[in-house]
This record gives sequence, C-alpha cells and structure tokens, in this order.
Amino acid sequence: MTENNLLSVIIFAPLAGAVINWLIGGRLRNELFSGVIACGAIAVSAAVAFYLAFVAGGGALFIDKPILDHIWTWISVGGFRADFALGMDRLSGVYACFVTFVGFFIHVFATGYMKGDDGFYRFFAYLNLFMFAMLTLVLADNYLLMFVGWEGVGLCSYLLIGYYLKKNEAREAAKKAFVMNRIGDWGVLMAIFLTFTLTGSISFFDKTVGGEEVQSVFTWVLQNVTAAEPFTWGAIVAGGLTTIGVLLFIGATGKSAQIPLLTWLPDAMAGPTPVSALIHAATMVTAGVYLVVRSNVIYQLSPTAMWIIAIVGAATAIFAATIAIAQNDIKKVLAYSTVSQLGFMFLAAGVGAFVVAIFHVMTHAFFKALLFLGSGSVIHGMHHEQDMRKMGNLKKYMPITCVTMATGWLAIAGIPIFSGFFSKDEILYKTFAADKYFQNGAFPGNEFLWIVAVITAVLTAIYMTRMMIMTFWGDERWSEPPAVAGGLTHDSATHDEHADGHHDAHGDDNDEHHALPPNFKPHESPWVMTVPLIVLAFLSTVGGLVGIPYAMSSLVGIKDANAFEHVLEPVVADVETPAAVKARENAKAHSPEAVSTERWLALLSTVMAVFGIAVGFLLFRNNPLRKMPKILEQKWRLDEFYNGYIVDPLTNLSRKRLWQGFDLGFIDGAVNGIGSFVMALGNIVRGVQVGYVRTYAAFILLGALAVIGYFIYFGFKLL
Amino acid sequence: MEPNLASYLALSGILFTIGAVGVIYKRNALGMFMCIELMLNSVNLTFIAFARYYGDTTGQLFVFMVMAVAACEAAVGLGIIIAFFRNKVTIDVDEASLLKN
Repeated sequence: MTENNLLSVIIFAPLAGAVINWLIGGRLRNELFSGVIACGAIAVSAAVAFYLAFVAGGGALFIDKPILDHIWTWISVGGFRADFALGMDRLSGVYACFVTFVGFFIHVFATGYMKGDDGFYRFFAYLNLFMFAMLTLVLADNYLLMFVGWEGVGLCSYLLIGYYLKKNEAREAAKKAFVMNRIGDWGVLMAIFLTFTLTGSISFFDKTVGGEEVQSVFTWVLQNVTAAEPFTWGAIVAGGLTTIGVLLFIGATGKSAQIPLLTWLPDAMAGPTPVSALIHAATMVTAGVYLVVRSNVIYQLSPTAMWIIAIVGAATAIFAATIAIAQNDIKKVLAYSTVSQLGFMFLAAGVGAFVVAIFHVMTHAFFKALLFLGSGSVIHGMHHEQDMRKMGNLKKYMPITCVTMATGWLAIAGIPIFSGFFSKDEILYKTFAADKYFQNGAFPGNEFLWIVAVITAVLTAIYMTRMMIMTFWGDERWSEPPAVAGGLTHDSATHDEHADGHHDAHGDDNDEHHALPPNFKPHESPWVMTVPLIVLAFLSTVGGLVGIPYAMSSLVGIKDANAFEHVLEPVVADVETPAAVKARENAKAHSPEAVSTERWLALLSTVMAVFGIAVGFLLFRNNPLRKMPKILEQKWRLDEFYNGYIVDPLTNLSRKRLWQGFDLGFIDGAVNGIGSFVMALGNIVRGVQVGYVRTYAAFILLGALAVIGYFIYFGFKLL
Repeated sequence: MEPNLASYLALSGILFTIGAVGVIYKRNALGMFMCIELMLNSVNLTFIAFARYYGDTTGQLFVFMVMAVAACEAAVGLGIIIAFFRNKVTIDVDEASLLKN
C-alpha cells in the first residue's frame, strides 16, 4: 500500500474550480476568467492523474498495489467503516486518465461553444462539479463514497441537462434523467447494504488505517466463496452474490442508459452540446461499466447476473441502433449510438471480457467525444440548427470539422486501424467464443448474442454513414424555402413536434441568429473548438493501437502488443473455480484454432463494416432524405409505452386514489374528525363552567370528601 | 373533665365545616375570606392536638408555617378583593363570573 496525498488534488481541483467560478465568476461575469479557471482546474487534475498513473512510484497503472489517499475517516461505527479515501489502481487509473483528458478538451471546446451565453460562469461551475463527481466516483475506495460520486454525477447531469432553464423541453429532460437515475440508484443502495451484511466490508482495497486492518469486499469473496453460485433464476432472489450483482446492474442500467432505463439519455440532448459530449464520452454513462468491472469478482461467481448483463447489453445495442438509423436530429443519432455502444460494453462485461469492456469504454470516449464535439461544431456553424434535413454539403464550409468527424465515423463503424475496430472486434470475438473463455463455464446462447452484435455493428456503420451524408455531402438544404422543408417534415406528426421543439429550444440561447438570413453561409468554428477536434480525431485514429489483440499483432510477427490488456489484467481477479481456471488457461494459450477463429472473425467484421458503409452510401448518397420506417423514427414508441403504462397509471393512482381518495378522504377526514369531536365534547362539557367561585369551591369540597371517604372505606392499603 | 384528643378533633371538624359551608354560601368576598381563615385555623387546631397527643413538636412547627402562609394569603387575597372592588364597585363574588361557559 502506497500513500500519496496528491491523489486528492485530482478531485479537489475541479471542485475548487467550481467554487471559484460560482462565487467569483458570478460577480465578474468575465468569460475569459471563467473559462481559464474551469479549464485550468481540469488541466491540473489531468496532469496529476497522468503523473500518478504513469510516473509516481512506478505509476499506478504498472504496480500491483493501489495508490491510496486517506483524507478522513468518514463513518466508523462498530464493524462498519467508510472512509473518505481515494484509491487509484489500474482500473481507476485508466478511468481517471481518460476522464480528465477527454474532459479537458471538452472544457476547451465549450469555451468556444458557449461564447456569449448569459450563464457562462454557471455553466462552467456545473461542468467542473460534474468532473469532481465523476472523479470521486472513479477514485473512491469504497462503495459508499463511490455512491456519493454516483449521486453527484446524477445531480450535475440534472443541472446541466436543464441548463436552458427557460426551455420546457430541457426541464422535462432534466427531470426525466433525474428520476430514471434515482430508480437505478435504488439498486446500488440495496447492493451496498447487502454487500456489507454479507462481507462485513464495503471497501475496494485491502488497507491499514491507523493500525487497523481493513479487508476489502473482493478479498473476502475470494477467500470465503469457492464455488460459483448456481445458474438459476432462483439465485437472483437468494440474497447472495447473484443478488448483489443484479442489484448493481440495475444501478448500471440507470446510469448507463440500458434497457429498461434508457429513455433519459436521448432526451438529455436538450442540454448544451459540450454537456452531451461530457455525459456520453467521459463522465456519467461509463460509470455503469466501471461499477460492473470494479465488482468483477462478484460477477465471476454469479453466472446468472453475467448472463442477464450480456442479454440486456446485446438487446440494448440492437434496439438503440435501429432507432438511431431513423433520427433526423444530429444529436439524437449520436445519443442512440451511445446507448448502442454502451450495450456493446455491457455485452463484453457480460461474457466475462471485462478488460475489453474497459477498452471499448476508452476508445468510445475518444470517438464519441469527437463526434459530439463535431456535431457541436456543426450546430455552432449552422447557428443552432440541429435538424440534419436542413444541412448538407457542409464539407465545403467546415473542412476541419468534416475531416475530424470522418475519423470518428470510421472509428465507430469499425474500419481497421481506427480505434473502434480493435475494441469492437474484441467484443464480437469474446462473445463468439464465450463458451471457452467464460469464467463460469458454459454460456447458453452466445452464438445468438454474437449474431445480434454483428447485425448491430452493420447498423452502426449504416446510421453513421447516413449521418455523415446528410450533414456533409449532398445539396445545401438550409436555404430551401420553408414551404419545401415543411412539405418534407409534415409527413409525420411526431417529427413536427421535434423540429418545432428545437426551434423553441434554441430560441433562448442564440435566437438572434436563428432566422437564417437568405444569404446565410455556415462557417468553420474558431480554433478553441477545432483544436480539441483534431486532438480527439488523432486519438480516435491511433488510440486503439494500445490494445491490439494477439491474433492480429502476431500476423506481423509481434508477440505482445496488447499493452492495454496487460495493464488491466490484474484488475480481473483470479477466481479459483474450475471453469474459471480453464477459461484463463484457454485465454493464455493462444491456441492456433482460437487465433485463426479470431482472425477470420476480424476479417468478417471488417467486411461487415465496409458493407454497412456501402449500404449507407447506396441508400442515402442520392437520396439523403429517404423516408425511414415510422416506428423507428418514433423510437419504437417506447416513451409512449412508458407514459401510457407506467407514468399515467401512476399519476392517476396518485391523483385519484392517493390524493383525492386517501389524502382528502382519509387523512384530512381523520384530522378534521378529531377536531370536530373535540369541539362537540367541549360544547357538552362547558355547561359545568358556571363561573361562580362558590360552585367551584363546593366541587373541590365534594372531591376532597370523596377521596377521603374512599380512603376511610378501603383503608390506606391501596396506596 | 380533662379534654381529650377526640373533643379537639370534633371542635376542629365543626370549625372546618362552618368554614367550608361559609365559603360555598357566602356572596360577600370578605366573608368568604374569613371562612377560609377559619378552615385554616381548624386545621391548625388539629395539628396542635396531635402534637400534644404524640408529644412531638413537628405539628406545632407546621402550624407556624400555616400561619405564615395564611398571612401571605391574606395579603394577596385582600389585594384581589380591593382590585375587584375597584372594577365592579361591589364585593359580591357572583359578579365575578367571567369564566361562565
């Protein structure tokens, strides 16, 4: 165990930034000041994170013991111990690095994007607070402190999604995000309670605090649980590790927008674009994956929970991809794409490929931040127009945005060399081979999941191609007279609402530009916006090279190129069940069949990616406004389903039964009833009050005589 | 005939009854006040009688305390009567029926 107090700088620098911006920035109202403070805070945080991860004491990513920082003892009651302490091991090291790094560029970008906004200081205060919460979540050394960060990102997402306070859509979206996250948080809390009752600890790391040994949850599990729990539905409610795993996953579905709690994330697009980028790439949604991977010991011993994660992940992936293909709002396409990619990450975690899940989290952070910032740049250049039907041919006007976004497009589509290819391909392969590498032995239905994942990958390539074509190629559609554009939009009612919503939506932040002048020309964004794009484009291109799988690097004769896996391997604990040991041996062996399978699958997925892009070009090159199936455009009517079957019945129950029935009838009735009963009683009894002193005196005398008579008659024994 | 304990107690009981009935039937505040004093003194008499009977001075000490309290009560009670008289220009206690109903 190494102590290093620098660790707390990582989380407190953004907090200080937020406080300074809130207290001083609000007075000064100086965009330069607010921007420098906010970006500077994250820069400090990032510098320290990288220093600790790579340099200090050998670097947290390369040593076996985590770097710990005990800030203070938070709760210590009986056997229960929760410290306000941070820990950076290999997993949280990777997270801290990419969160601060990507976060920094998003901050820089935001200084350009938010220029001229009234709440500039407020925006950056929230943004810094968001980073503080996320870093607390990632670096916390126990479940409870992690939950503080977990709630913190929920709060900050609420504040930032609802940043345009005057926009009804934004407020509604913020509320929705908050409520959906709360539902998931129930699961996390229950899981923490259960973890403590089961293991007597909530700590992530073994450590010594003030001479007292603290054993981590995971050590306890490794020492006391020797066999995986049974693979049955009953295990879910048995109150063991499987129950913990499922409860944690409920929390993860809320935070990471998986089925069934996914609808908040696309709605969250009502916030400013840099916020979307931050939520989707660096903070918030990847927290669910972190939680699952952090608890991998628990999951390795509960096959039912793993299986559920894999199924939900795959289902979410394909579900969101089908929706993304039919959206017309550039940010909605990306939002559903994130949901779909998160599904991939959970699929990977579900089949036991925890390292690959984190790998995809990282590459996704690069290319999704890039795509979101790119879309932000497009929206900025189009003066807050988000409807892709009103774009087209922007490559002529925004060459840098176009080129950088194209790398993001190729990365997410899974073209070799680009980062997304390696991580996505690993996920597909691990799913395909889950039978061999699954820690719990057999994995029923893995081929089916693989097929779903491949179809999703093709859909991904198609919808991203559609987005690129609608935005950057084709005719310039922004100058078309409203009648024509109206004619195109009027074929679907929901769509109209959408388009209108966005008109209103952006009325608040920059409306003076919105009515596009007849000679309107989109413009390239300033350098504060393009530089982050370029950096992220570079990383989206080469970022995947840190994790080239053995099967591919051995093609060119390099034995050991998968640095990422080697860094993260120790995070996945060695569970000593027979199936797990066998799976580990299989993975280490690099048997020729396995390697050739992986190569063929990689070739297949490359072909599929190219095929998807080709299909996208064929479908949309000449007809970018091709009508998509209505059900997809309406997102499978999932929101309507939730509203109709959950929200409305609940509202009705509350209004009709609980409020008008129970509250007004029973509770108010009881309270008023007691009141009138006392009044009536008083009316009867007040007759006694005649007001004459002598009457009272007589009563006192009678009373005294009665008491004395009682004692004389019964004697004094009763006293 | 030497008076014994019973006769003192009987006298005391008679005095107390006169006082209690007086408080209940009198309308004149001063009369009520005197009846209250009468009750107090009947109790004093009981104390003294028992003190003699048991050869214990505690009862006699209590009588002093009762007398001290009675003096205080007289001061307060007369004050109240004067204040009442100033308000109502009468000392008929039936006029003081604000508590009625």
